[in-house]
Amino acid sequence: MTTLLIILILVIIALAGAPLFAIIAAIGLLVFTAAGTEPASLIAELYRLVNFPALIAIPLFTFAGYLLAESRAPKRLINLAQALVGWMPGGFAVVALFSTAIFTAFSGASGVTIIALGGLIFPALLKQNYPENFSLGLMTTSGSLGLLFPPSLPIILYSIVARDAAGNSVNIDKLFVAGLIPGILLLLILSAYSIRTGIVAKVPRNPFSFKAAWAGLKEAAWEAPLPVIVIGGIYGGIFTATEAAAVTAFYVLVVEVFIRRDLKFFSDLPRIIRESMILVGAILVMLGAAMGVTSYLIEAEIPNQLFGFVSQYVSSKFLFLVILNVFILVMNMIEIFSAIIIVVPIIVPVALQYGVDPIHLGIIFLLNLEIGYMTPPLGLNLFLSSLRFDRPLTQVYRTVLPFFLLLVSVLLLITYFPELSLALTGAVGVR
Amino acid sequence: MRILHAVDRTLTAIVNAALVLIFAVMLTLAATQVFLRDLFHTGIYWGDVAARYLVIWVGFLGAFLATRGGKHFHIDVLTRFLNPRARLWFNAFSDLFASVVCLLLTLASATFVREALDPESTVFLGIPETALAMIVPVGFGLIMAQFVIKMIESIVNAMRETVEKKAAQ
Repeated sequence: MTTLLIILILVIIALAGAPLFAIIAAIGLLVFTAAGTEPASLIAELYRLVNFPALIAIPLFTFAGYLLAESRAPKRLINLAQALVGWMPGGFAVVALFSTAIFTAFSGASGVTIIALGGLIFPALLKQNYPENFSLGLMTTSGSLGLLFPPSLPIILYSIVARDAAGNSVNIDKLFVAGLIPGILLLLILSAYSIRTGIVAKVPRNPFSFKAAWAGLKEAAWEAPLPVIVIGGIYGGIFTATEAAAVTAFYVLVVEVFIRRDLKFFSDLPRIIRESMILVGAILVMLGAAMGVTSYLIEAEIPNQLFGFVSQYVSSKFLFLVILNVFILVMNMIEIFSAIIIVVPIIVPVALQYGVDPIHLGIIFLLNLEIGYMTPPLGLNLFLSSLRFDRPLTQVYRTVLPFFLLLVSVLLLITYFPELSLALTGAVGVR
Repeated sequence: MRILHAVDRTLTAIVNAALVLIFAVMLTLAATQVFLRDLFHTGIYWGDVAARYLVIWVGFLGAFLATRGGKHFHIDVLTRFLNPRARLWFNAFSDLFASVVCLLLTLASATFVREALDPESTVFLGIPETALAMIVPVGFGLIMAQFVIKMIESIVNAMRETVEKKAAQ
């Protein structure tokens, strides 16, 4: 009874807008006190963060992403993509899909894509005669596309949290590689839809020009190798994800500040460090606060009890995953990073008992995140899109529907066929 | 109010400078390690450990700045629909709650550093672990101070709005 009352009060405080890390820490303090443990033990759990070697990937990749977002790299990226695939039917829509996916992977998927690239891409889509509703839906979807590609922040966070709950079978390098096939599948299906729309709407096509392609390549020569460095480096076993983070951050810094000179060392760099580390700080205190709660949950065998309860009603692994999908989708609509930090430690052990591979689960989870961003009525991207493009929310809700259905069908495919996620992880020399 | 703002500004300026400096050291260290390891099969033997501690420092300083900017993760689905004055009162309440939690965390981490860590133990370059761990109580303390300042601001603004509303009637 008292427990229920306390939970109710905390939920109300959270809905009143209190920072979630404080809510989680309050839960930690309460359960530790109730178990007769000193509050200092909660800090001891937080302090375990210094033993997480992968943690440094979060600040380094976030910094690199912010640098890229502030530079003129997105513009160069779009130009290059336009020159390479702009000749296809639906070409520019495909350009939009690929460039936003890459951008989101690097910028950490915190909604910046719509803000940063939307202004470049949306008017261009309309100008090329793509239907307004299609363009709006595409932009809203593209805000989280690319979340499955390395080095997106949610993948890193999932692997850190899941590793703490499930042990060594989860590591960033494997997850980075596992996201490739599902991510590309998603892009291909959305591209097919875009090409169809391009043909139906009779969007004029631009002929391919070698000159434009060469110019685009030359212009983006410094940034274009980045995905290859990150993905290829990890895939080929040249370095770990953590090392890739250091290399990427250093490389981007040198390119944008010293070679391209899009950004100034003294006036821009400190500001970008500060802004990116604000996001990192917000994630880290929440992660730190959750460490204690996580070990309490494991100590008290809550996931086991949950499994005991759920398995009475759900015996098939696939059905479990489908129910899980619905549950995560609802959670993610509220807040994405918190969903990872709070939900993953509980569901990973349960999923393990059902025989679900934690890497496969991770991909399902992350794709859910991606869909959660655009799920009406509360997905973050819907609000951003409505604000950025000055369209009513109800119109945005309507326009994302076809995209939503496509994404959900891919989610079902990936849920049902674990091989899509796991095929590469076994095959490569991931270190 | 003016003293409060002066304190706030000074604190923020110090944290800003420290954050940029520590981040720079962390990035340099991490990048140097990769170059040394992959090109010369060597490395700074304390480099990885040091970088791991610096991440925590950067995190707490970033969290301090996040507090000021209202950038901590929170649920705003409901408060988004409130009128400005009601929102200020809700903010004040949230900040009060967060300040209390941070106070408890500050005390708990002070106890942790004092009792759980060996004052003799050093981590790298002879730096004692207790000194490195100090960022936890100091960080939570700073974040708490920031929440208190924000709470006072929200209350003052909410009351001001009330007065203005009455005057307008």
